[in-house]
Amino acid sequence: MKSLTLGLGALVIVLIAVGPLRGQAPAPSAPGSAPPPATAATPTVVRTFEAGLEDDSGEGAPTRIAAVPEDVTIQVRSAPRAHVRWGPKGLGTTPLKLVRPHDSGPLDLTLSASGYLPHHVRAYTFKDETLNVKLVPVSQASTVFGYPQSLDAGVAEAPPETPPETPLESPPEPH
Amino acid sequence: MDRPRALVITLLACLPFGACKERTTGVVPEPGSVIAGPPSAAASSPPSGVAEPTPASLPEASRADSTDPEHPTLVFENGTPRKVDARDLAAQGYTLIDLRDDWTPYIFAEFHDADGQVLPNRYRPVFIGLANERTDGDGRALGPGEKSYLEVFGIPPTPRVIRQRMLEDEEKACHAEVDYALLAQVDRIPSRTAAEQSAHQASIRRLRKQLEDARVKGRHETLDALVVADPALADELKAVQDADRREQAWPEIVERLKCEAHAKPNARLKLDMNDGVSRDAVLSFQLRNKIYEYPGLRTETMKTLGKRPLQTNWEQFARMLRERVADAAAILEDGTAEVDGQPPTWVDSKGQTHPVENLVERFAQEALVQMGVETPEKLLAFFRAHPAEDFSWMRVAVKLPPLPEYYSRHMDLDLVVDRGDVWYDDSWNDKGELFVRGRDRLPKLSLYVTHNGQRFPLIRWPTTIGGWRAEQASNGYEYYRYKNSDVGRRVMRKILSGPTWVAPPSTPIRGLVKASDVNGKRERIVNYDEMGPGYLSAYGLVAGYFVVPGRDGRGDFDNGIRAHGSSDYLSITNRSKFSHGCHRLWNHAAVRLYDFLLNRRDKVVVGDIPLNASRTFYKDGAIFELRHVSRGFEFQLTPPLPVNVLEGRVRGRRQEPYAGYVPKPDVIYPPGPVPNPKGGVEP
Repeated sequence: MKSLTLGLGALVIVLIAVGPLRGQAPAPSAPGSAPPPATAATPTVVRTFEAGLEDDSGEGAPTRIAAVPEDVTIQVRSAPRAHVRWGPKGLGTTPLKLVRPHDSGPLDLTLSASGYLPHHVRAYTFKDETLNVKLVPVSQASTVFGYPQSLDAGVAEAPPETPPETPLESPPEPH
Repeated sequence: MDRPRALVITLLACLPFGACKERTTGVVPEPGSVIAGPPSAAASSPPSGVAEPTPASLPEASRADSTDPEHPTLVFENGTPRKVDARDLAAQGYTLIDLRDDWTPYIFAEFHDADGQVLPNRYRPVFIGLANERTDGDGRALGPGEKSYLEVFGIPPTPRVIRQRMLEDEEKACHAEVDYALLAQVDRIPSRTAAEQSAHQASIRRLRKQLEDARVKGRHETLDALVVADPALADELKAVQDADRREQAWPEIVERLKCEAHAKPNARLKLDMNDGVSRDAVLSFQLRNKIYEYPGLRTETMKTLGKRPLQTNWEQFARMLRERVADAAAILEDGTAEVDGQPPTWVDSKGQTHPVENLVERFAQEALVQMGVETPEKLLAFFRAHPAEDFSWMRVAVKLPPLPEYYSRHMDLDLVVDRGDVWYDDSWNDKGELFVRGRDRLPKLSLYVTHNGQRFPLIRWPTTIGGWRAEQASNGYEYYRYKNSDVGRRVMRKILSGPTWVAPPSTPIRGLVKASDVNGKRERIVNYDEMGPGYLSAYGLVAGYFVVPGRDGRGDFDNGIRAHGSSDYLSITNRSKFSHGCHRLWNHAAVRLYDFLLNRRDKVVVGDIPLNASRTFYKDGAIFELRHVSRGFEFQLTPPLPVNVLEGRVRGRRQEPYAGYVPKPDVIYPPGPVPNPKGGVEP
């Protein structure tokens, strides 16, 4: 048990010490620059790690922090292409493929592109999944549900609302 | 999306108990499990006041792992454990109590489909991780020293965790510094700001001087002698003595809170519970000890602070064991069915009258005694004798009292919700603040059994009903709306463990976003805590769905009313708190109720219900996408459980709930008519 702990500790130190993860997408472009066009580019594969535990071996192949029985793959696509961030860590530009240990907890991702509202979305590690995100231009913020109407705008017509991507199946549920 | 709804049809009624083989890995039933209530006591027993304990009366038998010789079971004789082969135990009338790290209540048990494939329950590994203090509510690893005090949320710590706490506490020298006897003498200490505390101390000083002046003037030896001579001064003397004790107790409280790491060693704790650090320290202590009180030095909190850690750790073990025994024996009666101190009674087939007993307490006590851990000192010896690794395999076999005659594999049960006192009248002031009208009768949820023509309650628990709540209309503004709890006969057809609450568009957006640590950075994210699955979610750990059965080929009518666990555990007995229409239960109670129903009623194990739904909304310059990927793990009761929601006592002028939105007095709305909750605008 003790040796296992020491071994894991040594591995963590090695992982912290080495350089940036190869294969990771380029850094986000400067604020104000035009977002990259949506293309059918091959997804960049990124193995994500907790902050401070990045695989920076520079050898390209993802390194496991510890033996895991199974991985899941999360594909992130967006229109237009956007930069993907997980907390402080930039993961790259969409389309993106993330590999995570099965059942290792969700990832709260933020997608951003110049001229569009930041988009917060959660990816799960319960099984493989694909996220398709449609970013909303800043100029169309008022069309999204929850955008407060101006007090002098009136409400003569039905309020705008972004329809759900997939309709909810059930009636509203009190609790 | 594929929908692996592996239906496991439950036909236990047709299945002899002997057909239930036991699995090698053992958490629950076997492949194809055919999972419906455990075997009947009544079915195999002679008609008498109690059922004879027979193999068929042991509901846990089908869940036991008895075939792995490497993982034997402990039988205790006079407190001394003896390892035995579990295969023979059922025939000898034993019930197996699972003390292993990977235990879950039945609602999160591992089920298999007809092909022997595991039916994944997304919340099962999270529950196990939380109970073992390994992971957080999302399944992510806990940091060093992080604790999970989650009993009030329905997740008791594992025996391994309790063992560690108990042994660590015994090693801590700081515990010896605390004057527990003094703490035990203080009933409560009010929260006071620094200014209030100064004023209070000044008033006590004045009172003390008055008493001292009176003592000198009357030439009494002591203040006690003064009060004997002048009993009218008794209250003043008591006030001074109470203040003295509280003054002396406070440093002891601080010492204890720091010793148990509820506060950092250098923290400056204050009596003022508006101070975040102080409030969090007290709340942490309350959560560790399953105290249902608002954060503060209140009666139950003080009573527990006055107990030694050896005692409180033993009580925690006893609570944990109670849940595992109730689960293993599939029992529910906890003494709450009593009215005015008198339990309901029933007559057995021989004409003998019996009270409805507190089986949970009686069985748990029996298990404690048979394990030889009925005192804190004995439990400490037990933990010292068993290393932590033992709890990877340990189950104990105990002989529990026989079940009452009314127990059977498929019991004739029905659920009743009494809404208590109901006010439909407007209940807010000019500032838009909700206030509470008097409720002498609070809502209750009762489960009844019918046996030999007699119907009597097994439990009667506090619950909630709906009331006036804020809702977000389609124009982005909040209004008041009366969230009614439907009345009348309906059924509970399905139960979901680890349920997801699908937030309707009317949910105020301010509650849908929270700040959270995201990979080491504080960020705003969708508040999935509220939606679940999780112990903090709106539906808690488990929910039963109320529906009006469809007729003439039409489907059920589901108005969204559930009876579910709730993390808002203090709302359940609070006269001023209301739900959105659902009937909330303490999470541990909800787990017990649904464990019992699933064990004592025929059912179908459906499995995880995938959901592919999402919704976006705007909040403070960003888009948040709310994703639901599962509804939870579904069981269907076959036949459904009858439910009756009683109207209660409608008070006030308005006799019917108001259906639409009502503007809040403190909000300036855009011009135009008030939106309608169902879309459009009010006529």
